[in-house]
Amino acid sequence: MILLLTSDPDTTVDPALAAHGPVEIVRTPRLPRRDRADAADAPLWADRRLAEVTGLLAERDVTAVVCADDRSAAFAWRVAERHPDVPVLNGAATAGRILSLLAERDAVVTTAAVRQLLDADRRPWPALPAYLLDPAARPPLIVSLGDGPDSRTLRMARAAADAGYDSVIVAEAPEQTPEGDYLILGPVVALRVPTDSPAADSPAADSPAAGDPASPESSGSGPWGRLGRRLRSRSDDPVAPGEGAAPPVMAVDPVRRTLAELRPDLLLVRGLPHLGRALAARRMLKKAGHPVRVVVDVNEDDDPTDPRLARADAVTVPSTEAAARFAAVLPLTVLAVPEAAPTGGSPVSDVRRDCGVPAGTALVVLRDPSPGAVAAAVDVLTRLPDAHVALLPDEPIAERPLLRPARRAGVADRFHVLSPLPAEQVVTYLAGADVGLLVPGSEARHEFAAAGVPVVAVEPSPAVAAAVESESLGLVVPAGRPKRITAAVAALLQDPGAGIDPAVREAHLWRDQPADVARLFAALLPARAPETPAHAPETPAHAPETVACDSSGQKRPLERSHVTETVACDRFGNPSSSSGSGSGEQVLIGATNSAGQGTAWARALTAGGVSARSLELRSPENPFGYPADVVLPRQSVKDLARRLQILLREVMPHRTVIIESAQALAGPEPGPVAGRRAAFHEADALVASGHNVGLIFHGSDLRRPDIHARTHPWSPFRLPEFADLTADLTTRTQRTHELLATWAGPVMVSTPDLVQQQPGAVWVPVVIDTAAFRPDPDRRPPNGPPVVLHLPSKSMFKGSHYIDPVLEELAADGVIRYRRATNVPHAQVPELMRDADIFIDQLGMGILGVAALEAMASGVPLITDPGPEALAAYDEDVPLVAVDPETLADAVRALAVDPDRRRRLALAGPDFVRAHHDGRRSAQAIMSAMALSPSASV
Amino acid sequence: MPRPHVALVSWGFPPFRGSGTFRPLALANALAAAGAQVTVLAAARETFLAHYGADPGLEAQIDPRVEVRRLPFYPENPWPVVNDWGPVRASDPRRFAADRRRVLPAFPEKVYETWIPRVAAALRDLHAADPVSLMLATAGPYGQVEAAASVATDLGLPLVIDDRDSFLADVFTGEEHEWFDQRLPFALRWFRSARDVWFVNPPIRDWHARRFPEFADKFRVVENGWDAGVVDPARISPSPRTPLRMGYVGLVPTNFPMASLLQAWEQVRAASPEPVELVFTGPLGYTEGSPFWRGMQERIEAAADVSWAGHVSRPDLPGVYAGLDALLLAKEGGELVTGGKTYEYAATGLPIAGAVDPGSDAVRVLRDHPRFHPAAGLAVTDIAAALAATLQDARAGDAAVLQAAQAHGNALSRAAALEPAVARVLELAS
Repeated sequence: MILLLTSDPDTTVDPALAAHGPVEIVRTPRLPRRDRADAADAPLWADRRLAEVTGLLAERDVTAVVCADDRSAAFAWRVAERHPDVPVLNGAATAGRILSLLAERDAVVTTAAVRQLLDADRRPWPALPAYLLDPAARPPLIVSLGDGPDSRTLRMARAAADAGYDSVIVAEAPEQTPEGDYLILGPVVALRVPTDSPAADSPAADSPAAGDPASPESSGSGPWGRLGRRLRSRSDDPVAPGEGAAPPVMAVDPVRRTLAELRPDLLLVRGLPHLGRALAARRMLKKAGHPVRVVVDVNEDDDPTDPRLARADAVTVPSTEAAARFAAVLPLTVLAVPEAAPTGGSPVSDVRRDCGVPAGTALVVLRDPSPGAVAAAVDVLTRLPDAHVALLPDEPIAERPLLRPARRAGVADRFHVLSPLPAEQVVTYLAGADVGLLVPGSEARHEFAAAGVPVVAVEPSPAVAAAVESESLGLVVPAGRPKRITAAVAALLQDPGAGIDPAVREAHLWRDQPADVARLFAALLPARAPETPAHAPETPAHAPETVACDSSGQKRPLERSHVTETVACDRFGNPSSSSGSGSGEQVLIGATNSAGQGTAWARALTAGGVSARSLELRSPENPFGYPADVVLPRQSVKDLARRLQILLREVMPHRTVIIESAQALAGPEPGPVAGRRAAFHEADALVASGHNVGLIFHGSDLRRPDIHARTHPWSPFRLPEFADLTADLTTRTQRTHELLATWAGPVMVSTPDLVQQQPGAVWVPVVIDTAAFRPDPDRRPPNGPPVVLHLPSKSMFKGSHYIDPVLEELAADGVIRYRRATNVPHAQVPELMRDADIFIDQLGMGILGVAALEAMASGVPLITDPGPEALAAYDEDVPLVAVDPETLADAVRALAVDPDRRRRLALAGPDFVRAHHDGRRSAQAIMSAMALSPSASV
Repeated sequence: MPRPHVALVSWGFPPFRGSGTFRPLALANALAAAGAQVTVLAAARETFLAHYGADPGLEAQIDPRVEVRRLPFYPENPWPVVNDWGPVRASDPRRFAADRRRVLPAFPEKVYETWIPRVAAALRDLHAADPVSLMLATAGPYGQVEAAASVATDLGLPLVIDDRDSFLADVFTGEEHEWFDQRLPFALRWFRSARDVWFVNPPIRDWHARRFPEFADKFRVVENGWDAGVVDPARISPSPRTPLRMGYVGLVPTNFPMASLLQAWEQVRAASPEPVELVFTGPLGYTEGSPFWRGMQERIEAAADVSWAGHVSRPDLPGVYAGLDALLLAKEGGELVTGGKTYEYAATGLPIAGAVDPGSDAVRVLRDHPRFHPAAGLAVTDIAAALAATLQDARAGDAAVLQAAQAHGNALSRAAALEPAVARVLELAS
């Protein structure tokens, strides 16, 4: 049976097609028109019909799918992508002819058979891993929708991730970069969706209260804003002219659009204000064939009779008391997820030691750096001359202005400002304190209670006051009485009593909640069980290219190894400083794999004791391809959901990430971002989450043509015929340098000349496959004039315009035989080298490139223009003949008639390449730049 | 003396039915007939059977002494397996095409990039197994010229390049090709290494000779001509019939001046004392059923006494010509464009209305043809005058006039055009 995809309701079946069996016509959905391309539901345009076609393919014996017209091509491509083995053929007439040809040959109709028929040499595109194609092949996705990653949202999201779900936080961030960005918080990814104007089809239509962009939480003053500021202050990403001058006007609700792209399985809504938007998104997704569950995490004082609540699938509430209140009203699952302090971390010190306060001396702890809290603490210190106060803030703060009141009061020596700690370390860290000072708005009650530190609660809410009293957590002080605060502190210091009951302390720990939440998710989601958590996979989530070549060129199964340790995280999910040691480094290099170097460096690192792998986003312009551990077609991984999946599954599991050519590996920006900015966003996000990140450049991605033209007399960038390309490269590399100026991490380069353009960069020599490129033991002296080989690629960079006329003239004179090959697949180059007596690489660029080194490794005398930097970078003579366009003819002529010199060069080349370019030196350079050390576990 | 072994590289070869197939077919056959061992390197049959259009009957016209080696190759642009497409190509074909135009490949020719290494490897293999005396590369695509030039230079073999419609010139405008700068280094290497470089008409040769006088002695003209089996002069009737039938035979290209032609036709038809009709025979554009195709069909059918006879296969062309009293030659292009139909038309001996640029090379070919009636310009009135003169010629014609015209056309056959070229190849190959 054949499926005919058509946009035309009056389609008739081409007889040439009907001859091959019954034809079922499938009307194709239309791509959203250009003016609707930004609509919230635009990403879902094909989903429902795609599911129908998938069903047909599963149920019927479909031999081929045929795209009848251009308007159906976009949908046909989706079908083809989802079903790589079913041939999807363009054009009914062509398809009919192809099927006839296959029938004549008695061939089974498969995609591979069609390729074999039409072009046996054609290589298929790398197939997408299942997790990018089939939602059933990845863990269910739980999206937390709220104001941002506040501590409770993050803990709930983390619980989802730890239970094996993909967990993402989505929230608006009006003050962020116009295209939005993202944070990596342990195993959770938080997407900041930009909003700068009220959404035209915002949930306001659905609920007046939903998504109030003016609320203080969403305006950036909350934890989201604090995090953002923290990151921005570090990265301080400059904005190119026109890139961010004016915020975009949003025609649609960008959050709902983001949800359409992500297609979540469950929405975890943090707070009633976001429920309307979630319900609207659920309707939209359901229409496209995606059932979504909605769980609302309400606040204690929310109204259980709010009519929207009944439309959710479950409700979570922050206390057992409130849970009872909601359960009494709502006909759905209500789960108490009591608010509590995270635990599980092991701080290397404790508060008393860090303050230098001996046991027996009073130590009061403050978690809030607000002026009121500081004033209260200063009052305590003034009135209790032996006491000390420790301020442990959530994030770094400016100490000097904060301490001003203490200095004025002469108590600064007893006021200690500590560095922030990962959230799960705080309870243990605080256990040695005597009293906790709980000011209005502080969220530290659970930390003090769990740590067994009695509190003085100033102006608490009624619920907090009741808890303090009922659980005997300390004393309550009404508002506006500093003296009474100090008195209460003194009272507790004087009579600590029996301490906080162990059962009460236990109850304030975030311990059972994750399991409870996970059980709720499991009950709501379909049987598709979560798989191994993406952040700590023990086995690969998919099988990428199943083979790669080892250094001898032999195919072998890929070695796969992943991070298996669980990284302790702070309240923002950042791995704590003590994590990850002793488990071996896991390095990912990607995603350009230029000249196969990404993979070569990864192999070299692994051989050097640091396990590493490469990821390549393969471009259509790269027809030949080099092996890589993971190959993904670049053009197929541009949408947000896929980039997010790649981040979760391919990037985040690696402790160390090396980004090539300032091209992001995943870059899940909610909006469109220029490639290099995306790479720097990615680097920042990975660094902020505790990853070890470096940037590596291959050459034209960093080399500034304007500088090159000034410093190299034969620079191709001086030539008027290349003016357009030169201008384009100049703009791009200048932008890269601007962005690099804000980057404090390691920078590596593959050729020595780039170190001058990027001071501080570490030279990582390119790796030559010395097994493939090796001297031919049977090589004989040429029978006649020597064969001179030249392999122009982009001839601008090879200087072929200088080389060709000279060598052709020498060939015409009978001095040499000139062999020139264009577009040769790299796998065929060793054979060409074996038959060459002299190799000519580029002239004008002044570098020692990969092809030149491959010639040396093959024992082929090399003539090139290596440039002074390359010659100086090695601590020995480089066995080559250095020329420029003016000296080329004489050099070739001399070498052609000097077999002894050719023999000497041929002998020295392989040793030289082994010494510098077999990978060992490269691995050492990367380890040094990235502070990596070999592990016995590799 | 051993037989020379000529390696002829031509992507298009029977069963390909496109216009590019006939020159290499005739060349291969003529060389074989002249005693050369001929090996043709061509694209796989399936490429033509599946996409470009095939006429398996054409394969019977290949001289059995010619060996054809097929190289698997299917250009990227029409590649019909959607599984191998990217999302941009599927969803935004215009952007896809624009993106491809922007990226200049290492060899400045689109679509056929991967053809070069395949041809180069096949030529080396061929020479290793059965030494080649001369390489003859006929364009396009031009990638095969690059492959043959590189291998011939390396192996020290004589090379003849059949450049045909020019790698460097835009034959429609007479200007340099938009990629002239990028192509020039390749062309210069070819000119240096080739013994002969052939072009299809004197204006193209002269265009090159003016720019590259140092190679002018290598530049030769090998004109196209009409192929035996396409025209049968004996079947042409010397007496006009009623109504008088004027015919356009061949592809209607997308830049065809249909509007002015139909207007001119209407003037002539209305003024004609007796019934006349205009018949189009051939495909309407390159893609059957395309919007252009349908649009042309509608316009033809809407005009009075104008019809479309559909697309006929090549062996049926003699019958088509035999059913006509006059011919309409209409096409774009100036002095660098001749057009294959020009030779066929001349061979029929029928009167020819020339709705072409007065500077067109077709006018050079037909200038001495006794029944050629060129329009003075491309205005409707000029075309109408040419049409009227042609119809008048058809009415007045007799056997003597027909014979004289056919005698002129007879000299324009492919066989006549290739004779010196074949002799030159054999001379260089020996």
